[in-house]
Amino acid sequence: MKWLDGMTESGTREIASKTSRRGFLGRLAAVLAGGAATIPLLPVARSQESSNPPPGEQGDPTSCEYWRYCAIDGFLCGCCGGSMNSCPPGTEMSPITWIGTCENPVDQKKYIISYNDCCGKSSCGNCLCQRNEGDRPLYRPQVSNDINWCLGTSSNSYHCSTAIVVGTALDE
Amino acid sequence: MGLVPVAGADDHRARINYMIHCQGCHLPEAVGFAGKVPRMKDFVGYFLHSKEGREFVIRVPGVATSSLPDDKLTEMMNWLLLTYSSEQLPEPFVPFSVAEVAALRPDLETNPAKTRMRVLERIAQELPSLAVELEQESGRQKRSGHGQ
Repeated sequence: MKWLDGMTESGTREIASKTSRRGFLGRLAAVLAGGAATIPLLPVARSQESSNPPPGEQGDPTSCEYWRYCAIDGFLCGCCGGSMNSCPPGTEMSPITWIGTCENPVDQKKYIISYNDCCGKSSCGNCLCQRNEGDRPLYRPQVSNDINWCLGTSSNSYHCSTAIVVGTALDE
Repeated sequence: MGLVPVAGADDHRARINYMIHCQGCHLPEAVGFAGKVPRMKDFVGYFLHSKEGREFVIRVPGVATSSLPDDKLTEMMNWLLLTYSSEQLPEPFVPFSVAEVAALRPDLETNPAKTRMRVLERIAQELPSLAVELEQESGRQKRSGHGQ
């Protein structure tokens, strides 16, 4: 086996003499940074909050009583390894989603909340919340939160729900 | 074609109503989701080149059964057409009136996918740019396995 050791050693030395670790890291970083601008590396990239985020936050995002969850029906991603804005590792955020409006107790304004589901694993099972304000029956599917919103994802297994602020609603 | 103001319309309110009532499925900027949700951006204006197409965009289930009242729905539809598909609109563009929308909504379209293709194919006979779009759409569906 000595010939194998010798070949491996000479090959490794040749690579080491022609390249540098810093050069490799530099190229890797360029690929990651350049790629991130055009290709979303993670589903969260699609779900960045809008340019007008709420002015303040009050309450516990892992409690059903938290203001953004007024129209939710599902498991909180914040209790499942993700957050109210992002999916847990190993799941994919559904682009097609259920949208509602909730009032922020800090400024008493209504915000538009997108309850994007995270899909690709079986039900999370933690922090089940069913507040359902504004929910309508299944025969009005676009305003019903009882349907599986894992649409447009590679798997339709529902895992948990996020609650992303996408805009400010009208004061009516 | 630039944006044509519609008397009494509130663009901000229309945009918010789009977000609350349409964006969940049609996605921001009305881009749709291939194979599941029709793209409206740079497309929906084509429908207004025929009477049946103009009626179709109000009679489709998502529009006709929306919880928006007639006046807000009319405002949102006119805003949507001018904002996301002004290039495809006929010249001159006649905005929807509240009375027109109110009359069309109860007549719900029951086979939207089939009617959509029939309406578009007829318009495409007179409109080469739409014919090209339909060919591309049909190619995409064949490649992804989504037929109508």
